[in-house]
Amino acid sequence: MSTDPQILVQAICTLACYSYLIKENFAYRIAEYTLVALYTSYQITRLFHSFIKPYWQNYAIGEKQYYFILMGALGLLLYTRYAPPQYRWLARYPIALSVGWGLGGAIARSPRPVFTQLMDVMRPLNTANNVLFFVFFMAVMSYFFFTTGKESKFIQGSGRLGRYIMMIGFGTAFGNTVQGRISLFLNRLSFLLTDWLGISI
Amino acid sequence: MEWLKRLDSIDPRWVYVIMALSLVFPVLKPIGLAISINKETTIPVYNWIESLQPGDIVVGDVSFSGGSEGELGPQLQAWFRHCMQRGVKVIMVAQWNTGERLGYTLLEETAEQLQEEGIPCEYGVDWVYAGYKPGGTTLWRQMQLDFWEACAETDMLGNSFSDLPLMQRFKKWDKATASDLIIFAAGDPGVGTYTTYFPDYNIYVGNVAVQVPGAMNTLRAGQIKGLLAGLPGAAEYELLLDKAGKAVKLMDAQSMGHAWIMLLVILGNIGFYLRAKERD
Amino acid sequence: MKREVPLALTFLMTLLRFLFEMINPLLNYEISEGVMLFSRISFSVTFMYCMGLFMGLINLTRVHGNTIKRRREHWIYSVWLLIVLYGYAILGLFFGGLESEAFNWIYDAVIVPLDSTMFSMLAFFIASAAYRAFKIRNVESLLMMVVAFIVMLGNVSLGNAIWGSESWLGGFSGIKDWLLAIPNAASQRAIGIGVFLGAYAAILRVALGLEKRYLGGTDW
Repeated sequence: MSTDPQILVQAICTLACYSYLIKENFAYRIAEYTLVALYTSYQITRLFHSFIKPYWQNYAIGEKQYYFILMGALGLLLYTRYAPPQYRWLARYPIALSVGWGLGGAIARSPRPVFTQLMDVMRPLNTANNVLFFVFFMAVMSYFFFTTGKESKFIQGSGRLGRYIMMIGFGTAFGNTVQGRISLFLNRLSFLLTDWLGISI
Repeated sequence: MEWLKRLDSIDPRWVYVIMALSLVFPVLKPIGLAISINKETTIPVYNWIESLQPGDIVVGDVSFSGGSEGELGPQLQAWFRHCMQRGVKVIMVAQWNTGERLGYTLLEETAEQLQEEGIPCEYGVDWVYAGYKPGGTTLWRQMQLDFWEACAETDMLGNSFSDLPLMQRFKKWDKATASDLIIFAAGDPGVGTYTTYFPDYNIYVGNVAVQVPGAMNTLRAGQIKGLLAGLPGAAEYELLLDKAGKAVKLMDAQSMGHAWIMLLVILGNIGFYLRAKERD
Repeated sequence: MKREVPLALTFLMTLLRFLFEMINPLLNYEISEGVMLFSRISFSVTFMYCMGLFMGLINLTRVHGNTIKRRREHWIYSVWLLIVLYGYAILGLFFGGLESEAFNWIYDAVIVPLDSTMFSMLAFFIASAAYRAFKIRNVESLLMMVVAFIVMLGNVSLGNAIWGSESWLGGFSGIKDWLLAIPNAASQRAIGIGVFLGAYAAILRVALGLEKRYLGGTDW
C-alpha cells in the first residue's frame, strides 16, 4: 500500500464518493460540497492569473491601451446585479456587449459546418450505403414535419421509418454510453488497485 | 416460477455489488480476449502520424477534465508517445481550464517514460504546452492570426515563448505551420470550435464513447478525418504502437461489465413479461 | 437608457463582429505594427466579462450563507463549503498562484479524483437504470434494445470472441460500425440540422432585439 500522502488523499476521496452507493452519508456529502467549492475557487484563480493579471500588465499598463481600463470598469458593472434594484440595470451594458460580440461570430460562422453536412447528403446515389443514408436522413427529417403534410400517407409512413431510424441512433448511443461509464469506473479501479494498494495489473 | 417474476425487482445494491465484482476480477486476472482494431476510426489516426515527417508540427487540444480522464487520458498518452517516437513536434492547447493541468500531468508522465527509454522528448524542443487561454472561440480565431499574442506569449508553466525553441517556428497557427490537429474532447467547447473556425484543416478527434454516435456524423461528412473512440480507441492505439498499456489491460473487464448489463436487461424483461402475463 | 441602449449595443456589436468575420482585410487590419484591431477588441471584450470572475463566489456565499443563517437542513456542510471555497481562493490568489505547490497539490489530490469518481459512479447507475427501465413494450423499444446489444458486443472483446471481425459481415463489430456510420449518422445529422435551425432563429431574434430575456428582469 502506498504511503504517499497525495495518493492516500486521492484514495479517501474516491472511497468517499463510492460510499454513496450504499446510502447517502456524511463522507459523500463532504466530498460533494468540497468539489463544488474547490472547482469554483480553481476557476477564479486560473482566470485571474492567466488572463486578468497578464492582460492588465501587458496591454492596459505596458502598451498603454487605456480602453482596457474602460472595459474593465464596464465589467465591474456586472456586480450591480447585487446592488439595490434601482442600479441593477447597469449590469446590462457588459452583458449586451459580450453577447453581441459572440452572436456576430455565431451568425457568420455557424452555418458552414451545417452546410458541409447538407452537401454531404447530396452524394451521388451510386452505392447502397449512399442510397440508404439519403433515405434515412429524409425519413428522420420528415418525422419533424409538425405543421404541414401530416395527413399525407407518404409523410406518415416516412415519419414512422424516421422514428425507427432514430431508435437505432438511440440504441447506439445507449451502447456507447455503457462503455463510456464503465471505462470511467475502470480508471478509478486501476488507481485504487495499482497506485494505492500497490497490486500490479 | 414465482422467483422468476421477482427478477425485475432485485435490490439495486446487489446490482452494484455484482457489477463491481464483474469488473474487479478481470482486472486482477485478465482473460486475454483478443482486441480487434477498427479500420474506419483508429487506423486513420495512426496512419496520419505515420505519414508525417520528423520535425513536422501538430497541434493537440485538451478539452476534458477529470471526469473523462479514464477514457481520454490513455488516448492522449498513446497518441503523444506515437508523435515523439516519430519525431513529430507537438504544441498543446486546452479549451477547458479545469483539465489544463491534468493534461499537462499526463503528458509529463509519458515524457518521463519516453526519456527513460531513450526517445527524445524535451520540453520546449519537442513539445510545448501552451495550455488554457480564456476567450472562447474568439480566442481560437485569434490564435490563427497571431498565436503568440493570443497566448499572452507564455505557456502554462509561465515560460516565455521566446525562450522555447519550438515556438520560434510557430508564431502563427496557419496551414503552413500546422495544418493537422487533434482534439481530445469530452463536451462543449470541443470539436465544434474546429469544424467552425478551422474547417480547412485536417481535424482528428479523440472522443469519449458517449459522443461517438454524434462524431460519426462529422466523420462521414469529412469534417473530421479520424476518430479514437473511448477506451477501446486507446487500447487499439496502444496495440498499434506495440506498447500495451493501461487501456489494453482494462479491456477484459469492459467485456465482463457489458455482459452483466446485458444479463440485467434480459432478467428485467423476463420478470416484466411474466408479470404482464399474470396481469392479463 | 435602461433597456434600449443595451439592445442597440448588442445589435452594433453583432454587426461589428459579423463584418470582421466576413471582410478579410478588416479582420487582418493592424492599428500599429503587429497590433491587430480585431484582437484588441476581442481581448478587451473578454477582459470585460472576465471581471465577473467573482460572481460564482458571491452566489455560492449568498446561497450557503442563507442556509447557515436560517439553520436549514445540512447547514453544517454549507459552513464546510464556505471554508474550503475561501481558503482555496485565498491560497490561489495571494499565496503563489498557479505556481504554488500547495495549490497544485490540492488540485491533483482532491479535485481530479473527486471529479473522476463522481462521473465513474454512473457505471453503477446506468446498470441499475437499464435493468429497471429498459423494457420491451413495442417495436421501437425492441429495435433500440437489439441495436444496443449489437453495439455493446461490437465495442468489446467478448463480442469479437463470439462473432469475430474476420467472419461474415465483419461480426458484431462490423455491424456496429455500419449501424454507427449509416442509420445513426443519418439520424444524428437530421436531428442536428433541426437543432441548428432552432438555435439560429433564436440567435437572430436576440441580435435583432426581439428576444430580451438575456438582459434580466423587467422590474429594474
